[in-house]
Amino acid sequence: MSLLSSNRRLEYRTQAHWALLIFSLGFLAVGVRFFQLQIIKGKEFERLSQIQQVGQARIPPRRGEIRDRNNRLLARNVPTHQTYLVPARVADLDSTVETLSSLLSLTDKDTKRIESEARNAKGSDRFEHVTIKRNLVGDRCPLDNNQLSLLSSPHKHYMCKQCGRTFEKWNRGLRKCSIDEGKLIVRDEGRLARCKKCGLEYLREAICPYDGARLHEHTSNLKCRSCGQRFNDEVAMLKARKTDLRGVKVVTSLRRDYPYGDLTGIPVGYVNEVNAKEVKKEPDVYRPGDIIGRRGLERSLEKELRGESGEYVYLRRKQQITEADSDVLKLLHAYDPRPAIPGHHLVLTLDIEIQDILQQALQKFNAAAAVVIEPFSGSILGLYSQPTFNPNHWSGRLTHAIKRTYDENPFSPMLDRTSSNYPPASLYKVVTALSALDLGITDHSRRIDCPGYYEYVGRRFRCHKRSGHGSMTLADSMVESCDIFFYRMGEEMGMDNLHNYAKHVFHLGKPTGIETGGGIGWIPSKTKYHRYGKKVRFMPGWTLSTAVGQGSLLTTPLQVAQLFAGIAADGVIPSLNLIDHYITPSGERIPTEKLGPVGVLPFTRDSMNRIKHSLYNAVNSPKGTAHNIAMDDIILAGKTGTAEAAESRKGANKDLAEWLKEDHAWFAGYAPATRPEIVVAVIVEHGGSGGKIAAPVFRFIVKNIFDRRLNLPSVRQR
Amino acid sequence: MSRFIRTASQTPLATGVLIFLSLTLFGLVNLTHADYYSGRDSHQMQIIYTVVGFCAAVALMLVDLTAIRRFAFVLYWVGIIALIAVLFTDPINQSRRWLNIFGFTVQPSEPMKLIMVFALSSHYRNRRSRESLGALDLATPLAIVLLPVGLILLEPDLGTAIVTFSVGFAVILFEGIRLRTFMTLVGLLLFIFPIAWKYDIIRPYQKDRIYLWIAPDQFEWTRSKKARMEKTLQPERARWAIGSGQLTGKGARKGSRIRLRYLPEMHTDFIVATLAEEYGFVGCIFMLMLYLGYVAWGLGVAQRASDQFGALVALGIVTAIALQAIINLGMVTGMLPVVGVTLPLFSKGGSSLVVTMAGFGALMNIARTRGTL
Repeated sequence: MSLLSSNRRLEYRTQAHWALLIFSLGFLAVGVRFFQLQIIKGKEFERLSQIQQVGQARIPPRRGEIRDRNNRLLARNVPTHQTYLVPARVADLDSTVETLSSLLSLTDKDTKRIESEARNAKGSDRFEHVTIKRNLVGDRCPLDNNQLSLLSSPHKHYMCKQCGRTFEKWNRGLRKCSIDEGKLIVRDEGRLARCKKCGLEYLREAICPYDGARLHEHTSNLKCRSCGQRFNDEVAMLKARKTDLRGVKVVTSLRRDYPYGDLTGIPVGYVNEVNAKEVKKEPDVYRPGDIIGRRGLERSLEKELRGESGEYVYLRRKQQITEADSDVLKLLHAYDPRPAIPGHHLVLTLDIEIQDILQQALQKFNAAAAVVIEPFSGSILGLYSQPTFNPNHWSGRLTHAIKRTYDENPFSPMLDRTSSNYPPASLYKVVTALSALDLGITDHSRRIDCPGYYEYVGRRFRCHKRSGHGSMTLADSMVESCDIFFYRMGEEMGMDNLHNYAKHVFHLGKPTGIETGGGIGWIPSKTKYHRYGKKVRFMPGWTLSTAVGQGSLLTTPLQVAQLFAGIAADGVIPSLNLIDHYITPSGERIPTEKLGPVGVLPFTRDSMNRIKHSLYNAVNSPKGTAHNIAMDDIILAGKTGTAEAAESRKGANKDLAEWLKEDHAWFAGYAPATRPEIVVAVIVEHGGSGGKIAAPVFRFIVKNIFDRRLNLPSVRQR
Repeated sequence: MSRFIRTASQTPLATGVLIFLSLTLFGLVNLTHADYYSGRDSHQMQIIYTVVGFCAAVALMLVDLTAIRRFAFVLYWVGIIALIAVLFTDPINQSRRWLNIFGFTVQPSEPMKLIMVFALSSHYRNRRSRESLGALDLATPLAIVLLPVGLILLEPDLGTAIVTFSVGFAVILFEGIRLRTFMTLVGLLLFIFPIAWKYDIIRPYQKDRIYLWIAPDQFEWTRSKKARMEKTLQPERARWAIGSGQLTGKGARKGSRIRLRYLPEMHTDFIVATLAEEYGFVGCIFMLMLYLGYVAWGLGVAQRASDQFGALVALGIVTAIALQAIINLGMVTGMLPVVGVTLPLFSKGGSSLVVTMAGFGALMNIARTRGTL
């Protein structure tokens, strides 16, 4: 150990003295500064601190609007009222919550949540908002945004505080629903009746039939002129009781509204509130209470639509600032507000009138879908799936009764049938025929005899006409939809050729890019025949099934429309698009990037023309499978399809089971046949024969579109 | 002055323990109060770290000083490796400072301050000559200082880098340095500064802080600068909080909740705002007296150390505490530009707390062994 010599010690002593001197001066300076700030300027700062209570607030962005091709609003933002409570400012929590519960018909669950949140708030959390209720009723109907009118006498109804359901009073002799005149169906030994149309429930006694709780009586004073629903003016009630409800605030913000309701459900989709997970994932973008796209375009274009939130800073107790407080004003200057950037508006290629026509055409069926597109541009004009849903219901305003009608519908209203998988059946003969011609397996004069069945490796494959068509050419078998010719084609082409042509020439079995349902079809191959399940040994007979569009082959109505657009456009398969252009907040128009064709069919002009002629004959020749829909003024062309799709479902009642046994009815075609302007694909699930069921739907759609002389885009781009 | 040191150095170890414990306790209570305003629970972890810190202090008090001296360079290289490892972590607030070791986040730059003092002192342990050092003799000690400082700057963590460099330079100064060499070094630093300014080695936001510090009235608020308003406006808000404490303060837990909530770093760099608002000028002076008492006691320990190593270590540790406190308080009260330096024993942060307490242990160790003289 190197002991210090006395000299060294002296040296360190000097250093220590210097260090103490310097540090003492440092601390002294800090002490003087504290004196200056706290004693000399203390009074001033104290006053400043009274004023300068800086608050920050977020400016939520406006979500972009969605319009159709004729500038009609499909999705817009309308004001909505919300109410919340600031625990620190509430004088008497118990009485406040009780008043709120009776004014706003809160359920017990809600009141408990509000009470516990308000009580458990500690420290600064006591200044945070506790949500009481969203979408308060003001002067507009929360369902369809129409003006509400005052009822002549207040309407009384029951409400269950436990489950939140509401019931109408059932006076003796009432047979029809008081809102939409739907028939009342009596249940529960006459205690309960339910409207067949809207699902509203009527009760004789004030006891909840679901949980046995005693019901409370509530009064409504407003009625919607268009939907007939009754409401209570909650905003006015809260404002009137303002003095009793200290710490309760009503805030107006924007919510999403879809004026065309269920017409836009499938393509546009809906929004609802972000969940905690999404807020955690992108805390800079979303705050609790924000909305986020959940389906359709609202979901896929969330980024473009939502915009960017802004921020502003304000001084609490601003009135105390005088001219002399220049420091404070300067500070406020430093906090220039950052404005919110609104989202882009969206203009679609969709035509809401065509949507309306599609709805009329399909509404008589249990389950169906139709797609209308332009053959050359691939623009989607109509996209409808029956039954469908109303996006207004799903955008955070789903009541028990409405939810039940969705849940109890056996035909899955939430399903997007335009992008669901179905076997294409005879429609697929177009693909097989063109492939066979291209391979040189057949020409236009080859004849094959149809005895009504086809023998292959010891199995009989039947034609849909049991007695047989007789001697057929390719064109004949297209027009009359003879299966035997195509069984032979399938056998001669082999599975590999069938797969390769479908996948790589016709581009089937791939996403079209605008699916909201998720079905992308399935093109079987020798190595992988079934889409799901275990790999099984390939059976030669499957080739024949594939050739006529059965077996495990699947396509979506969107893909079928795309395929027929390709044929209508002389072999150029367009890529589908639904969005025409964006409009920026400043009004600038940004066209979307138009994708080129998906593919070009490499067939000879002669082959294409002959196939088109067959499609023309399928409608216009007396022998054609869709001769029943031929019209004089508009010349149609198309192909029928009847897909074997018998299925069984667990727990299905008799009617449903019968329905499930039927075939899917298909029709795909274009009009006018000479110069195609629209391509339509129709499927009626378990509808029966394509010619009898789906073809008239096609005719109805085409006729209505042309009758209304809709602003069809020019297609003369050849 | 020298009498004050002498009395302080001759008082028993209990004086040091008393002052240090008062500071620690004061800091902990203050952090609890800050938590009350913000609704966070950072004091719970701080209590755990205090216990860990006590263990570290006791360990450093009991271990043989020669062992520390011998292993100083081993520790040093471990520290350097940790500082390099930190550069490969994911940045938090655009800065890579924390290493995750068994679920605990450790800031390697904190122990590095102490380790660097050990290493420097170990380097000087055998020098017997009384002559002050020239430029050539300074090469190794300067390298010992500049290597960790450079790595900390890369994180980037300007505040810690400044403190680390100052502590290292102070130890070199304590050992003695020729006046001419000292002037050259200072000159060099003054020469480097404008170059660093010109070529943006000093980042634009750091420049803004300096501008704001020198002439707050002429500062031009552009849009991008406003985007960082939180950071730049903290001194202003902190000053209001401090000023509003006046002579005796508003009392425990009676401060302005809303303002303190909007002071984003109220638990770390700006912790003294809470203290000043609650206890006023009286509380602030009490805190300053405690710091000064601790510094004086530590310098006394340095003076009476039994060997060169102990004396330099004690000087280094005391310098680290004093510098951090003065820079932090100067920054919070608006006398210095904003650099992220925490207030030892008051600010939230486990690494800093444990290292400060370990330093106290080392001081106790040196004070204990002086009897061998």
